[in-house]
Amino acid sequence: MKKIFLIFLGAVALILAVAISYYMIAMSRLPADDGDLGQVEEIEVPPERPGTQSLILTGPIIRPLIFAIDMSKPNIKSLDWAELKSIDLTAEVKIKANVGPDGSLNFNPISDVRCPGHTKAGEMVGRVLQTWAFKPYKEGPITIRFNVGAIGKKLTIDISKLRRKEGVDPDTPIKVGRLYMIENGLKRNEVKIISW
Amino acid sequence: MAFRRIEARKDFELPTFIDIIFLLLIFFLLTYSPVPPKVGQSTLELNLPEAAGTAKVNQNEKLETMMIEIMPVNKEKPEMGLQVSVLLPFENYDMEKAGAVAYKDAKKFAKTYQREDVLPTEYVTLGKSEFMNLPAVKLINDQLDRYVQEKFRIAKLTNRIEIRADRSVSFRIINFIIEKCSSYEDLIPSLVFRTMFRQE
Amino acid sequence: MAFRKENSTNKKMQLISLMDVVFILLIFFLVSIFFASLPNEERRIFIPTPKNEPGYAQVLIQLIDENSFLYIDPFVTEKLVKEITQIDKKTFMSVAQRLQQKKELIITKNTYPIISQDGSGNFLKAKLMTLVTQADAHPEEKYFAMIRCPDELPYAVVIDVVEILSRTKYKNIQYGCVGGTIDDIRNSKSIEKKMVREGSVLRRNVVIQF
Repeated sequence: MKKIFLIFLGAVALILAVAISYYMIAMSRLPADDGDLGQVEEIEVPPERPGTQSLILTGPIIRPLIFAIDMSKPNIKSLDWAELKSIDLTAEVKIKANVGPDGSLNFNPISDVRCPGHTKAGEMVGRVLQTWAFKPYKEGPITIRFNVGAIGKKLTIDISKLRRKEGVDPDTPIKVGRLYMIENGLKRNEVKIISW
Repeated sequence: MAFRRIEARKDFELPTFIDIIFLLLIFFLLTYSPVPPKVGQSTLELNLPEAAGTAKVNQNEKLETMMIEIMPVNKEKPEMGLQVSVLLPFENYDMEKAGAVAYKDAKKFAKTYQREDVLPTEYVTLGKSEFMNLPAVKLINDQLDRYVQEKFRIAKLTNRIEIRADRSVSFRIINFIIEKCSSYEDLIPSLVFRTMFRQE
Repeated sequence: MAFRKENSTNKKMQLISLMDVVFILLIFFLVSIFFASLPNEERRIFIPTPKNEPGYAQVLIQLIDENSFLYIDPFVTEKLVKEITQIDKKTFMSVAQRLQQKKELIITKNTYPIISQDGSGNFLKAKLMTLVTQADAHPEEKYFAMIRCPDELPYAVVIDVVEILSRTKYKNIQYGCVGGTIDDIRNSKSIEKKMVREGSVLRRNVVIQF
């Protein structure tokens, strides 16, 4: 019995030891009585200061919309300039089309494609351009003119008659991006865009 | 045939039991980690006494700049108003070469050179001119003018005034100091508030 | 009459009960450690002084009284711009009527209680923490929060707001504090949307003229 009692006393002492050490750890996390205050961070750049007059709530940044060929649309075909050249070296094709509300390029392949004396080239251009579609930010008439034999500008795209589509935020600027899908030989400086 | 008598049931093994309990206890103590309640979540507000080790103002801390101290005259009796003391980092303007003074000395000098006054509790509701005519407000106004004139002649990012105020002090007097400092434009680009926070 | 002397050897210490008591005490002290309230500490909080010019704010925290505040962030401003555009289209209404609608739009929809009615949550803290989390997730973005506080509130409310805003990892929330009440917005002369070019970017702002 005495032995058990001694063991018990030892156990109580152990509990106390554990409890006291635990309190000590907990207390060590508390600040010292007269601990120094942390220094305020030095400001390297002048702080932005508030204004007391009127209040201007700054909204989010407006990202401009880019009016360009909508690459996400399927079946968009690019025009092979070299092929057009091989069909007709002096081809002159003018297409009067309409950009629809969904961005599609609409025209009548017979009446809207003018290519006097260059029918084959006109057919080829018409076939490819029918697959083109733009981002649906603007709508209205568009004129695309090919002059394969010209020395200066070989492609002229007139988008000056396009108007902002209804529903597109009037405050968001619309920039002009890539308006054509032509590869194999047409240089960038041979293209003229008439915006206004 | 002689049968052996069944032995009496053994006693409950207490020491072994204690051993196991201790092991379990130590295991749980070591593995326990209290999860702090998340912000916005329901928390049980308990009004508990503070643990020992309250961080007091460091009496020996050397003042770096002018400090405006606004504390209740008597915390138990808020109707007695607020004690406004303007503590300077030197004894007085004509003795500023003596070097930076400690907080406790600055308090003494504030008393000696009458850079302290009592702000009555009704200051929050007073009209603008009445508020401006309060002696404690005048004291802050005049002392700030003097300090800026003497110490902040050039606009510097490090030019600042310190404010130590009790958490219960109304924004009006603080806003007065903020507006007063902003009237010097770039001479005082920032203020430093020394405020008590509950530790997290 | 002869009294029988109690056999002293039968007296036993009630070990199990004693242990029960000791364990309960031990558990009580251990648990109470975590509930002991931590002491106050003094911290230094830096606040820029205001300037006498229009006050820009990406985030507006207008403290109204002890238990309500107005909170507007860039998402709210974006919505406000759209709704203000719609109100401006109502040309059949007088200018004053339109202004009144805009004020209601700003104030009523964006005023929150600081502590929820059932006392279960702190909305102000939750809003600020959301902003801090957002700022931490977008270190490239910079935010400017304007705190407006009326005279009668304890200044510690402002300091608590600033303290939370300064918890950002990348220090990309800057803040400023000015005195002002909700009546400044309630009695404002005009509320207009305005496009502003800041360097190469365009922003759509809402200008509240006091």
